[in-house]
Amino acid sequence: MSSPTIVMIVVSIYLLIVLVTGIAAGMKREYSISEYVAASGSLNFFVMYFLMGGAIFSAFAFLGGPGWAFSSGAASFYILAYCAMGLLPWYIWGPRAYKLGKRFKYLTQAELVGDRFESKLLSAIMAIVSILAFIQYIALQLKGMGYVIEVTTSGAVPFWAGALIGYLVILVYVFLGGVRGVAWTNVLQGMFMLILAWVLGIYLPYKFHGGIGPMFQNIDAIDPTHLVVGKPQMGWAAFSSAILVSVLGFTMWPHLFMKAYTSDSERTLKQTIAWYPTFAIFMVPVLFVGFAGISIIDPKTLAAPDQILPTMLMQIGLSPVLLGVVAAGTLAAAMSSSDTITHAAASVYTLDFHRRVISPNITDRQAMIVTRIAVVVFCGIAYYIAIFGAQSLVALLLGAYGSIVQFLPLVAAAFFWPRATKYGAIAGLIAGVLVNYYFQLVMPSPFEIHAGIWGLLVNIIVMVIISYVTAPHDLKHARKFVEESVRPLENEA
Amino acid sequence: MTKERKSGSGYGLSLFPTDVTPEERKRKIFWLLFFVVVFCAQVWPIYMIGNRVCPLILGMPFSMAWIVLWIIIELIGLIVMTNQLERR
Repeated sequence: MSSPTIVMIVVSIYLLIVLVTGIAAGMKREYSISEYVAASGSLNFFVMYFLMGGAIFSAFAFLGGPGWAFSSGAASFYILAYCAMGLLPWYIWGPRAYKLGKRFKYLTQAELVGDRFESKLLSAIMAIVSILAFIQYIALQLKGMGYVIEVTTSGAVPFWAGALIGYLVILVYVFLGGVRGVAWTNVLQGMFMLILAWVLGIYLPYKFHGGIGPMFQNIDAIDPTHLVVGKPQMGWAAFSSAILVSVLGFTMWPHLFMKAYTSDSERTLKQTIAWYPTFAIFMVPVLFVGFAGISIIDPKTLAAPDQILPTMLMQIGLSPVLLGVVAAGTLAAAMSSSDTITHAAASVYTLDFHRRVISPNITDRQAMIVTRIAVVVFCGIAYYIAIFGAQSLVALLLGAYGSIVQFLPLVAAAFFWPRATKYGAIAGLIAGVLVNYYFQLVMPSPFEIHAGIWGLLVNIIVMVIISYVTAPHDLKHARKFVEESVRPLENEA
Repeated sequence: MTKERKSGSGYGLSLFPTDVTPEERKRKIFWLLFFVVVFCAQVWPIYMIGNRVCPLILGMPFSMAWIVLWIIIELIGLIVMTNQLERR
């Protein structure tokens, strides 16, 4: 058998296992939107841990992480810092969102915010920004999947087909299994990736440099600035503000925020946050992979730094079976985040846009149908962008991607500031998003500080000023969100 | 009206639940500061102390080991805090 055939057989076995797991997890469950979107709030610590972890272990982590380490060196440490601290603010939002979710039956982030500010428009804006960002995110994962399969099969399976195969599998289990399918496949994929990351992260430095210490000594000898943060790779302002914006913005991603509603208890939520930094430790060997490529692979032979991992594997002449395993592992990374995102995009569309704006009286059954149609449509758009690029759309999507952090003042105000008003919130959000777009796409951000930070500053100022000049919400209504979010639930007290 | 009393029931900022005890409040502020320190240690300017190649620690350059060290401190802090809050 030829090598590409064996690789594809291994990959197919892996995909089949994922498919079966995903479908089985969602079977024999009640047919309702609450079950589909939030597993009826019943996931325990073990599943929650991997569900949240799988979301960060994306194609970006597996291909982009090594790519950064290879091309920008110490700048890639930012990934470790942000992985570890990203979920910290959830200690504040998570339990509060959880309690409000139980009390008022929320399933998404914009439902909570839209309800607090009594505004359909606000939840529609949030839905649009999130969905644009999601599509960008999914497209990136699809590219990762297509690329890995193409390289490991030496081109026998082309890019478009690789991306298609991976995504069809996700489509099926997200379609059928809902969040439970996503969660259980993430457990499987998460364990698989962790093992693979450590094996590769230790094996490759030994193979090419005779150890991890010698590898870094070699790199230091070749380029003394590669292993320290600062110019020429990434300046301090850029490095620090990128970490800040990631930490503030990470939990604002609707697909993560809404997972507060899937958890079976507040305790589970807090335990998940407490153990989350372990995922950052798992990222350490992933960066070793990228560092191992320095002086071994000529950067000029790579079309993009992200290709460093598969390129190195091809170079050492790994057996086709192992190559298949690595390809499957990379697919696992890409799939475990794109399934979460696809699922969230469809849920957000149905609950925050369709139900709010298009048809408010939709039944549970109809909502399920809309959600599933949305899954297929968003997959299709992301696939189109991944394959054909669609330059005109890319800027729009990139801007949305960076705009997620602009939800922060809305969420914080819902929990802590009763005086914030609907108009303040909408004006702040729009101003923040526009500033972010401007500094991300039109002109470079001042002082190399992340565009999201400038957006946040403007967002907060506008929200506070407009809130003070507009009439406040009913005090009882506004305080409800402050008080009910901290009052213990009756059955858990 | 002092700011404190205002935060109890009106439109003012309500950072703490109205029935929070002073001891609880202190504990929460302590942990908040703890994580602020963890964050600051990994960005400019404090990270500049750790931002060098030598000595290598477990084979890693010092700049990388520094971040890993703070991740471990953060993890321990989180676990201690979570258990502490649960016991009450």
